Amino acid sequence: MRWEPADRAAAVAAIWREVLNREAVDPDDDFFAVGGTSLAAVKFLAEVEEVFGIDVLTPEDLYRGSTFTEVLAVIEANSGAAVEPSAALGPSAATGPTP
Amino acid sequence: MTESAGVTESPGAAEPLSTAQPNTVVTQADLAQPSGAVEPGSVGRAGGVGFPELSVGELVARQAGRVPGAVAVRFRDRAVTYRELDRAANGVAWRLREAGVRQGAVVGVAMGRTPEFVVVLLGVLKAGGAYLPIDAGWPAARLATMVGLASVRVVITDAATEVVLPEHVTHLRFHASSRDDGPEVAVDPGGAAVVNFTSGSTGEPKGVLITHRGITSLLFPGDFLDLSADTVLLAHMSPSFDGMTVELWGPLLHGGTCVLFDGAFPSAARLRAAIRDNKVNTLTLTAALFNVVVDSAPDLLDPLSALVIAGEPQSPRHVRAAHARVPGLPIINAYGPTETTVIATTFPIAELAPEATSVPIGRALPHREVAILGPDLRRVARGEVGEICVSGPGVALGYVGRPDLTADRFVTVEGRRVYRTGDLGRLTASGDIEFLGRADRQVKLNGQRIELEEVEHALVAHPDVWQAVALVHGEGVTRALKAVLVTAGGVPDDLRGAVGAVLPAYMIPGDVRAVDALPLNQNGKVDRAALAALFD
Repeated sequence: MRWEPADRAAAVAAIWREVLNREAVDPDDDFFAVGGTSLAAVKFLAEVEEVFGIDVLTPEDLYRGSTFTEVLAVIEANSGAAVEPSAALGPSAATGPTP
Repeated sequence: MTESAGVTESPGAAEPLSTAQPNTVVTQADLAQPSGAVEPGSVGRAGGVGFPELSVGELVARQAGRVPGAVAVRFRDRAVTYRELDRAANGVAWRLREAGVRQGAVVGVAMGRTPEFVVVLLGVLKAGGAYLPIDAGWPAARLATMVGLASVRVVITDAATEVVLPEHVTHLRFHASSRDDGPEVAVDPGGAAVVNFTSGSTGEPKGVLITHRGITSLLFPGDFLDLSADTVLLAHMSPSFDGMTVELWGPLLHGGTCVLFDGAFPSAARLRAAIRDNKVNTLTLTAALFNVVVDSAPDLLDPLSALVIAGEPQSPRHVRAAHARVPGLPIINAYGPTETTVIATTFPIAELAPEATSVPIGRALPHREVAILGPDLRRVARGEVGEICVSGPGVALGYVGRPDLTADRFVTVEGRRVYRTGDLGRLTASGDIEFLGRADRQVKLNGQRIELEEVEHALVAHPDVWQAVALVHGEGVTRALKAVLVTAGGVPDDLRGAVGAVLPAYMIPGDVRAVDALPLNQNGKVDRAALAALFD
């Protein structure tokens, strides 16, 4: 199954909101300016990896360009391969499994 | 020490703070017992009492003699053996001796996390010096303060690291040396080995002088981590963090392997890959990072056989989740200020009571004594709240260049040198210590100690800032440093730059608000709860 661009944006936005504890996402929001700490970055990267796969977004990518638009663009560019979107679009999209 | 048996009982430990007092936690080991001569490497297991009265450099050299071909350090696809590490460090030591480094001199080291970095740290120790790990991201003004306080005359860098140094400092670039015999330097195990700077409430960072003995007494027996030749530990913390003492010397004093994490930024994917690719079995994590791992990448813990979590109060939910996922993995909650050499007490998570709402910090390690003292420095009754105070060979020499601050915190009680942590705690019925917060305004963020006063000092140094209150606000990964200002008009545009010129990145408030006046409570003091509510 391939991601539709709109689904991908929605999935990334869901993770962004969950990790940063924000209700809305503006395309120009900068991860580190809206409350993102280095720890939040670790969590965000881990959640993105869970949904989109390994190395779709590296730490260097996030630190180099940290607005939502930039992050989404990197994920778009690197996640062309088939992935399962179901995990991302459920109600608990970004909370991750709790063992 | 009269005989060169190689091992001694803990120096000065013949009189624990008080074995007789029921409210004093004393190490399991009977420290008054002489340990007898045991070869380093086998110390601690049998008798569990002694630690080698030898320098860190000498202990690594003995491992190089014992297991010369064993892998000491792994980095990317490189494997550095003990023989190679030891010989290369000898070359560095000779170079430093030529540069005038003598016993007790502090040498700055600003390098990436590479095998050469380990070589240089070991070389500094072999030359009789103490290393000060420098983060290249520190502001030049802060670095200059540290260099001044520690009387640093020599700084070593690698090709990838740029630092701005005061002019009088000799700047050495690391390069391999042809000379690899050991320098004839008798290094005093009681002398300084490491200087770790922490935030200071006076507005100036404080450099803690950690001794060889502090390190060896922590890592022998080191049973809190089950350190041995089989240990493969992933070193991923910032080199300027005191946890690196455990990450490096933990494996290297025991013939194990230290795997150097590749990359400036941690990520779950990279930690997982590093653990898998290098067969890492031992890991240390800050509480904050541990929580993220448990929430988002718990599979990362599966291959481990030992895990130490430290730095902040633990979340019972997260430690229970980790224990449920990997029941066979010993998870240790470790507590300790830099001033007592990284760790003073430990608590095995497996012993957490089902109804516990907080995770105890546990009991003193061997060679550490911990007591709960009142303001009069007398022991409080069991169950009463007091200040956590630590004595034994882990206690640091003090704050470099600041005898006044040293005298304030390092005190003598019943003839023993005691470090007053400023942490509040109480001894529970089970004999474990419960951590109850701070007596002052020190906070911890992702394991980093921050004195809020130091942040406020930097903020009010700006000419347009009249008053400033720094605070920590938020939960989980959004828990962050913030500040409220009274200013000449809004938050100054150049504030972040001005603050960044004196404070490291982790001490710069991420969210700053300006108000007309600071809200006061009924007692006429700043109402911090009302200030925190500004950020809700």
